[in-house]
Amino acid sequence: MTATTVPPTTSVADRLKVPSDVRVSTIKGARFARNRIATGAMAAAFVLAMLPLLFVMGNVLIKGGDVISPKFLTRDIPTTAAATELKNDCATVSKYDPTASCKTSAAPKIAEPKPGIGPAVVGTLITTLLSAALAIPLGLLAAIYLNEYGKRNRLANFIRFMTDVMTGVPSIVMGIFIYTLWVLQFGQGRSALAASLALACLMLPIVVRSSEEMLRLVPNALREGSAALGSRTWKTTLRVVLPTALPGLVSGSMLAVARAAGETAPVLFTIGAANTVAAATTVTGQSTTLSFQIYNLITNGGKISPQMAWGAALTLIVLVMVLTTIARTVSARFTMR
Amino acid sequence: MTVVDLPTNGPAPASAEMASALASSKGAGPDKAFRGLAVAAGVTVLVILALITYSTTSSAWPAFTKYGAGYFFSTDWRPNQQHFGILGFAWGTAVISFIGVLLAVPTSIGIALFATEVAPRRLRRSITTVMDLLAAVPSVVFGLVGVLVLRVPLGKLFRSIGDSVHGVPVLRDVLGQGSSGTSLLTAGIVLAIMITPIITSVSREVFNTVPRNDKEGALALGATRSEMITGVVIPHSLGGLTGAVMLGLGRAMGETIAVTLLIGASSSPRITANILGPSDAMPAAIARNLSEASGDFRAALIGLGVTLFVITMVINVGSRRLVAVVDRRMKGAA
Amino acid sequence: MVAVLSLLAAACGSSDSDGASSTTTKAAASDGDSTTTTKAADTDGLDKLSGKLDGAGSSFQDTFEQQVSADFGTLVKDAGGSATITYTKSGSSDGKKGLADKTIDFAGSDSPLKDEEKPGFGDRKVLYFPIVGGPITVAYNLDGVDELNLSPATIAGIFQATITTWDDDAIKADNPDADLPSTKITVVHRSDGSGTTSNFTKFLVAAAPDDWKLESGETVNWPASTQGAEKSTGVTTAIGDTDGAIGYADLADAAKENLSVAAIGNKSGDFIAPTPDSASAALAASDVADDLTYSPLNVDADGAYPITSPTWIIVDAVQADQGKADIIKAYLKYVLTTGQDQAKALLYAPLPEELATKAIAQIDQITVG
Repeated sequence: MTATTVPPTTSVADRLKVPSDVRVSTIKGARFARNRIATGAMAAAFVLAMLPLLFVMGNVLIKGGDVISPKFLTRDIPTTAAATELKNDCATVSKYDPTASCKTSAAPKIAEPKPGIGPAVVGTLITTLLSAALAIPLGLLAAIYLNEYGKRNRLANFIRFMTDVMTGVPSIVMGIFIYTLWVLQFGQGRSALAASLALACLMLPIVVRSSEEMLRLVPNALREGSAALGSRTWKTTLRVVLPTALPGLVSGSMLAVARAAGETAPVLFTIGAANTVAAATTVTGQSTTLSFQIYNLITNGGKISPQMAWGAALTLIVLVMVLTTIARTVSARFTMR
Repeated sequence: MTVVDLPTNGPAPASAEMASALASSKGAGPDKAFRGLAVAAGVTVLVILALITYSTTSSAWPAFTKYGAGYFFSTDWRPNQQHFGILGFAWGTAVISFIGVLLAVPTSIGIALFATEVAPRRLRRSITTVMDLLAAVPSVVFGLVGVLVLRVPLGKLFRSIGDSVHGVPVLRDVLGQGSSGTSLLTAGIVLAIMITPIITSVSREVFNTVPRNDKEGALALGATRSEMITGVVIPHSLGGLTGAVMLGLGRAMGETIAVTLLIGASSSPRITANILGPSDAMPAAIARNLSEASGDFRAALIGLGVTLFVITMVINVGSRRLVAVVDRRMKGAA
Repeated sequence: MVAVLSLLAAACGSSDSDGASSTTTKAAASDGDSTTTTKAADTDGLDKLSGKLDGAGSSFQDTFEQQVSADFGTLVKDAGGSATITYTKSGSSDGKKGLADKTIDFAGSDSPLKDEEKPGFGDRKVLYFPIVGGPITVAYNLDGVDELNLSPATIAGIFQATITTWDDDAIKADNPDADLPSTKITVVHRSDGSGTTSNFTKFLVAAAPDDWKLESGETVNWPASTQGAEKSTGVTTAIGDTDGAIGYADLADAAKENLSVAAIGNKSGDFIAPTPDSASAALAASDVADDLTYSPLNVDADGAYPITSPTWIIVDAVQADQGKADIIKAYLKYVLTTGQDQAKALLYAPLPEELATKAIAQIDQITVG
């Protein structure tokens, strides 16, 4: 290979600061080593990011796998676990209570309550579905306005900007919002519905923006064709644009749902508590979710609580990952077409 | 036949509109109704955002008016004595976000470059998958692993670090007093893990927009791959990268549960450089106390939320502006 | 006093049996000599109960409340009725707020209504039912030291970080015989608002007024070098993890982590270990107001543990619904009679007889209107 002369006008070369007499053969020594190191560092960054994923997944799989079973997923949350652990542990109790009665009359051991997170599973499904039912139609309609009607007019641009602002609102602020307005000001109390409202607020901007992106991908030729056949925008949108964009819309919405299912902060002040599946199967009553339950269980102590937290974590991760994977697969199909 | 518009050209062209207008008046009613519905939905988004702003700000108002500047610029946080100064929480949030961004940015950019410029096609897929999976791990699960698995060993490590730098100036102020595994550093590291996927995915998109010609030109000029990256890819992407980093920063500042569990929960954080010591962050303080607070205390906590809201909003809007400015400058130079 | 203890001992003998019905008969028998009126009420009418009660509040009483409410549910079911009682440990202030907003039927609280909480109730009258008491322990983790005496002034010094090592002169003065290492003290406190913090700091205000500067409250301005932790269990696990750590928590949570607990100096300078009995002694020696509010903190009595926390169930005096009123009455009666058996087994202090009798008498003040 011969030397490459750099035309002095190329800005690329200017930025590169490549000496004008550079020869390919000089890509050796220091420069070659630097290139190697840089490539190595990039690969190392990837490995570095994989470590926490493997560590978290490994722990959750191993520790959660021990607990998880169909019964665990449907059973009520035991409320007397802490009490039972104490009662069965005479040695500990008598250390702190010299006159403990268990020393004199050996009481039969009480069966330890079985771990269960049924209410959290039910509550997660209810709040997630409800928030999706609130946010997706609204978000989709807003996206239709932005892309099919508003386009670049001032209102549409303003809505687009504000939706972006809303995407950046920290999730805990959504919780505070529903707590102050719905729980305190309207006096509605905490409920699955209140939590769903907070989660819907979180989902809404994500749904709007992702739906708009997907609608934008629909070729205009389709719209024009439909219009040429005499259809108005609403018919074109419903009959042509939406069906074409459907996979993308589904995948965008599912990502939003997955995000909502894993969130804890908006639920903290809005959901209340529930220990039985029966109590959690309400919309207007207090409930619980997997993420919220994990947070509670971490701070609970005892023997059974950490086990349940791991089991709940595995359940939640599987739920979120399934939603995410379906969404990614659908969108991959869509973009390939 | 018109050529299909590029996807980025978004809105339907006027021709479609005109065609509909030319069509018979049949269907004008439903179209109006549907349009009205869509406009209403768009406006609802605005109404909700306005409600969020109004409802939270009005609930926090008593704290702002009663404590004035002292609310924002004091570290004196004593709820039982009605002293509410949030600066300590703001400091905690700033430090952990800084640590998070500091660790996440080089890693994310490295991964993004690896994925766009280096890795073979088959590996690229799995990089995306790994990042998607990492992004999908709920915050509370990071908290769970941190508290139940890492807290104790980290505590031991931090204490021994604290002991070994005991007599060293500067270092003992930054790495001293590691009494437990939960600290500013722990929270910062978890934040780094949590914002890496988002910075990576935005950076990848940015790198993908670098014109192929420029890259190939650089290589043709004899540049090594690393020279091509520093000479072509990075300068071209500077604006987008800034946006990615700011996006990650905004996410880090608002992150709640994992931080609540891992920051050490000092109930009255001070401004300290000791990253191994306990502190507290704005969202964490809210998460921990709001359910039980009343009166001024509640207003002060909601005020923390409003302040956080405003800061993240400024960062988001600011990052957009910055991206625009940097982009213009880069394009002007080119 | 002796009568109370023997009654408790008799009652506690049956506390570990699983079947709730057998517990009832034994307890009713042992109650026979003191409160004849409650014996009949204990089993009568349970079959007619139907409905559910929601309670929330104090996490201090949670373990006791969960056990007793579960037992009560079983008892009612066995009698042919149905009553579901759920209790959520959301914190005392949250419980009181929930009761004010009528989102729950009863509140669990470690403190009476504060002045700023009263407007929420308008002119509704509430009744306080003391249900148990319990020691708040000063728990610690120090290699080689299993017994420790701490005077209120020393505790104040430790928790304000003016005493920073375990071989400090103040600690030595309290423990002339102990072999104290020079380990650094790590103070662990509650990071969430808590009735336990409130009662612990109230004790310090009362017992070490000259030394304690942080005042009292559900959250106080702990020194920067101290470590926060979520809930009592967070505090106890953090103590368990760290050599040289000290913190405060209820006895049951300290026991779960198998932590050492300090004996605390009382008014006359004696060091009293935290046990259900020493806490009961403190309850028995406190001045009880007409509305059954009282403070067992720092009472001056032989063998009384000075950091004893009260805890109440608070209900509306006037109930809107007859069915709910019936369940509340039956439940309170159960908690104050048979339920007391559970207290000691769960490391709470049962109510002294006199206080229990007053509380039982107060149940009749619950009316429907």
